Amino acid sequence: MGEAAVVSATDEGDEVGAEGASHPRESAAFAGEAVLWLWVLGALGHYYHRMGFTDFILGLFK
Amino acid sequence: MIELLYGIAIAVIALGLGRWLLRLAGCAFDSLAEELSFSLGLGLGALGLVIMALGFSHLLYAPTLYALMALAGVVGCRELIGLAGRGQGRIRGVQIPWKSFYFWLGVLICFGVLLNLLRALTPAHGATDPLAYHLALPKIYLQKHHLSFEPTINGALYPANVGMLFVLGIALHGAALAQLLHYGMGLGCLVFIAVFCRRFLDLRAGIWAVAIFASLPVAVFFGPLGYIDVGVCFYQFLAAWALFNWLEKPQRAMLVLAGVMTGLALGAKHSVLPMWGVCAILVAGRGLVRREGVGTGVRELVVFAAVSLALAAPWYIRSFVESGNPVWPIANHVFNGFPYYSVYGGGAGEANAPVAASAGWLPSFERLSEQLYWVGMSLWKWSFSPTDLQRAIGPYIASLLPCLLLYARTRRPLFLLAFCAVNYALLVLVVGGVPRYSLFLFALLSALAGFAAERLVAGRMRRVRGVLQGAFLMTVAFNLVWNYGLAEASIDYFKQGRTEGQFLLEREGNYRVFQAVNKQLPADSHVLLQGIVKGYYCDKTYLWDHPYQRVINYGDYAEPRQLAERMRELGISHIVRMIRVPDSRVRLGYPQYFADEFHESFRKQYLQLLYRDESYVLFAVKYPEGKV
Repeated sequence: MGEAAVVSATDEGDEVGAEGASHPRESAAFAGEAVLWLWVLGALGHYYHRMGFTDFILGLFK
Repeated sequence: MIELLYGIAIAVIALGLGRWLLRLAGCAFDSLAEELSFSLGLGLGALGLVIMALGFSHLLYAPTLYALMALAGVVGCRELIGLAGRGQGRIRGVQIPWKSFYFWLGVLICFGVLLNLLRALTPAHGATDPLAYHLALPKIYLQKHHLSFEPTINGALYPANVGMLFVLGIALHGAALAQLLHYGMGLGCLVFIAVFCRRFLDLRAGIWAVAIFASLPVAVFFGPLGYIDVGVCFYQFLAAWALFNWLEKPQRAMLVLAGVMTGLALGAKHSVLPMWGVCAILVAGRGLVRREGVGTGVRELVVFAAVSLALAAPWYIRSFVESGNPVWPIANHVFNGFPYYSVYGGGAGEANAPVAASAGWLPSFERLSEQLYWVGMSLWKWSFSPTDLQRAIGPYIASLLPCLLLYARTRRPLFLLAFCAVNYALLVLVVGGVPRYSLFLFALLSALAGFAAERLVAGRMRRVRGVLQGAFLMTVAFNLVWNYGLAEASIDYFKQGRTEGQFLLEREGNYRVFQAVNKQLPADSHVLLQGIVKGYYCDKTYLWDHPYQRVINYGDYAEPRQLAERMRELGISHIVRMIRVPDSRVRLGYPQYFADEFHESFRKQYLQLLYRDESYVLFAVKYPEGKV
């Protein structure tokens, strides 16, 4: 299965960014996703930093 | 490693038996994978119920259990041949390119699964609860050949559908096989999550979800040990899944299956009761929402409740008959059951629960605020600052669930989210706020988190999806480092080829003293464990002196003579004592025996030393009138 099939495999056709979306709405959605990306990466980073993996990785290069 | 063959044989037999039962019930499934999942669940559940019946009939012997497996194998044999034929062509059709993110995620999941397999195959050691009661009680049942009531042992009357599978494991090949069965149920959960996601969300979300659930610290740590919680999750997840199937396509057979799986879960742990209530409301509510009339809703509720309660009832009736309390020792003050320091409502459980039981029927404003705080904050705390491993759920669920604000726009994820929200609130407010008790919720949340992750990488920023995928792979690899740390002792055990005895001598503190008990004491010895609850390796009959039990409590006796009389009444012939009781146990109410005037006086008058090592002593009790 190709990467393009990812979204369509989900149920009931609520594909993100469907045709006809207005530009401001599209920009807001893009900004929303960007915030979520930052949130997810930040949360994962925060957790593994607290677990000591930053030191672990830095230690590998010493 | 021979346990692996036993484990595979039990799983295959359960699969055949479960498929046979499903065919009898006339259940129709969306896919072969779904059919296999329910076959395995139903088969293991059926085996557990038959073992329970053997236990009630005083027929718990290893040969009986071998005969049971042979009979189940014969019953399911034809089904297995059919399943093998149907499965062959489909497995050949599955291809995942090695360059794919999902391929490498799958590889990392497999590494984690293998590390945990090594832990499951290692002789049972370390963790307290399995050696104190989850594995110890099944061993006692096998020794006594029936489901006896051990009033000093915590959990003696808990529902034990998973414990019955431990009886099978211990009878066939010892505690490691019991651990392997628990681990196997965890492995089953991973498959269920993937198939469930394929059915209700999408397959790629399923692969994310499997990785997320397989990385939950609570599941990783407890899964390969002789606890029961992953087994409870196994039944609960199937129960929720069958219910969702029925809600989408209301066929009577599927409703019965949902009832059966809920009953099996309810017969495995008390903590399933709130989820049973949620399911019952959904069953009754469906008819009303679809405007099929109150009568339909009531009829369906009666079917669901009758099936689920009938399957779980034997455990609760047993508890009531033995102790006067169907959920003994929980809520003992309500039922006035056999004396025990009640775990809820004035007991030690409160120390662990963020929200204790309400003092009155109407909670105060402070209490409501406290409850709201815990409902709001628990998921965050379990993710980022858990107090112990049974509350540690890792970062994925809390980090990915907010994405559902953007992506959960269709009926299925929204319904799943609502179902999880209700069960989450119940976990926090009713089940003591311990994720280990409600792992099925985290399996469902993993599915939702997987769905969110898949939508996130396939969304508007998909051109840079490699960043998130790479970060996720890296974190899963980090989890493997921790997992490796947990499995280090097991890796050494298999690498060095040591015997089980050698390993346990090094790793299990009381193994040596129990070896002395098993070898030196007469067969009819009855041992009092002082300061110790991990009695699994003691082959003689024994009782605890845990401060919560009410069979032998030192505070009740003013003089050593009275204690000796009580011990004589109980038939205690020997004592195994921990030399220095840890402070945490002293705070719980255990005496520091050798520093306690009363116990020292008792020792001088009535005890004769038979054995000692650096941590434990074995005494014979010398009654003035002679033998017990």
